[in-house]
Amino acid sequence: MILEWQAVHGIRNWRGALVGGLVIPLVTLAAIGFGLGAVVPHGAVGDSSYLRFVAPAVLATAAFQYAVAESTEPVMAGFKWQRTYEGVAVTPVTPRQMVIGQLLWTAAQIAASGALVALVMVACDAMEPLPALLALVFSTVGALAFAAPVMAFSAMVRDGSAFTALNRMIILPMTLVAGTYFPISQLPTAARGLAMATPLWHTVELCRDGGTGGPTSGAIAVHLAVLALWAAIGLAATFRLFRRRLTF
Amino acid sequence: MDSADAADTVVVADGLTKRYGDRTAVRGIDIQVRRGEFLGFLGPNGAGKSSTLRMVACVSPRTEGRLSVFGMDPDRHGPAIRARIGVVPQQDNLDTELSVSENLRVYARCFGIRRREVRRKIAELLEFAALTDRAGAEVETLSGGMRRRLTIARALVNDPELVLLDEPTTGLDPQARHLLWDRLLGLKRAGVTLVLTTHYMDEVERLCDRVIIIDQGRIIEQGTPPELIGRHAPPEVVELRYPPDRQAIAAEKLAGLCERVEVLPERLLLFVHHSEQALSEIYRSGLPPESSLVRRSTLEDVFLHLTGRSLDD
Ligand SMILES: Nc1ncnc2c1ncn2[C@@H]1O[C@H](COP(=O)(O)OP(=O)(O)OP(=O)(O)O)[C@@H](O)[C@H]1O
Ligand SMILES: [Mg+2]
Repeated sequence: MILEWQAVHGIRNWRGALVGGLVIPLVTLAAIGFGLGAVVPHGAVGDSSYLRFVAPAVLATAAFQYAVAESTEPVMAGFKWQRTYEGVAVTPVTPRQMVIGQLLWTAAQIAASGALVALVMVACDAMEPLPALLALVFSTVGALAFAAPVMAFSAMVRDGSAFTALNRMIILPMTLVAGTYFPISQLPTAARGLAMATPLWHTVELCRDGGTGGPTSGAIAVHLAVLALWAAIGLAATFRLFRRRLTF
Repeated sequence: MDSADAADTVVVADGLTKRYGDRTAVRGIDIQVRRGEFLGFLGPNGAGKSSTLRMVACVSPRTEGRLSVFGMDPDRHGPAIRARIGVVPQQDNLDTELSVSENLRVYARCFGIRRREVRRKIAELLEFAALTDRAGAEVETLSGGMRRRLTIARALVNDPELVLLDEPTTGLDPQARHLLWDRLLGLKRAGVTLVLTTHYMDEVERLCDRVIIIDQGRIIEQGTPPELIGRHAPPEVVELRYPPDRQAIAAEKLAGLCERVEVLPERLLLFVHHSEQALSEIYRSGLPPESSLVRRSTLEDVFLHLTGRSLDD
């Protein structure tokens, strides 16, 4: 039901969604992958071309950015700007169902826009079809795992300026250093540990593993476990905060 | 309570209490709402009306006391109870980015109403809210009163047995207010139980079978509107205006002519049984007022008498 509510929104805002979900990652791919790729010597990032190195990361990063966009302002609007959550709170829908509905809708959008991005990447030979499909699945899963704690953050803070801080101090640095545009082996040790704790790094690794057929199923299991942990903590916090703010 | 009672009583509260941190909003009130009854809550700002309604609506957990709605405990059967209630919140919470009919549609879906049913329902509710010709308009573009009407219509989307209205007519023009009154009386005729809070006494006098007056979280009086007026105010009021320097003298001298005098900054209110008689005595007493007005006493007089005229919290 909530899913449907969100869907009605989504259909009305499809132009905005298209810009955010498709144009931005593709411009990034063009600028970083082709542009920067042209000056990065072959072999600098393992045995693939820079374009192929960066493509799965661009997919994952785009998915994360989508997840952040869907889990910040819409949540604040629901609690405060429009109070639509209060409206739902008097229906049989429980706060927990509201959270799940919102996350499912976010996942659906991420998957849909990611699919388009992946298609274009395959078309311009930045990824192979099967790895692209795997990367699509992993990036959606990873972004969803990140959406949960971001949603908790949004339910906790009281005004929109917190989102600017979140973007500047967490999202942007994470996007730059979590093994996205260069391998984390380039980072100083302390920073490397930090990067390895981010859900984005694990997602990027998963997307890339699918692409290169490299590491083992053991590594995949570890990445997935870390993402599951982020999701579980985020979800538990979000449930609590939603209940607290809707039934006071 | 035996089961026959339970079937007739929609809401039962015993010692219902709500605290927010260390502020107590509702201090142990007892309420029973019978099926089909139209109950009104009156009380000054901050009296605890909304808090009480929100507990009955199963969105605000009670701090203490017993509460049962449709014979169920809100703490344990919240969703089942909410499915049978319609709520008009004090503040609109429509989705302003959606259209009028989309708002009704998504809300209906929250109650799990089937799609085919939803379409019929929307047409009916648009009619109810007199918004049929604005069905496709974004809520953002509606006036405050139109939004209020939509909020009220939305509360009926699940054919509720109990409707809770928190100041439903605030911001409505007289036409819309009268229209709403007729609609609410229609719901009552159809057997729906209604609970309303308002600051408009005429609304309560016109609609409610029974009134509960609360102040600072406590019930201070209840009864039918005529009962309350009979109990607390003589039937007629003479309002007099005097120049400031003579008002105090007049108040003192005229006190003997009436049951009660209320001294306001610019007016004297004399509560009397026979206004004509009182008025002629006033003129005979040698204290002619600058102006005078005679009217019947109202629930508002009772309310102000019981809750005090000052704006203290
Ligand atoms: N969420 C809250 N947190 C803290 N205090 C609250 C909260 N909601 C209400 N209160 C306090 O509880 C008291 C009762 O508030 P309530 O909203 O129930 O009053 P009301 O009778 O509906 O008033 P009004 O006529 O102004 O709508 C007030 O003192 C108010 O400040
Ligand atoms: Mg109120």
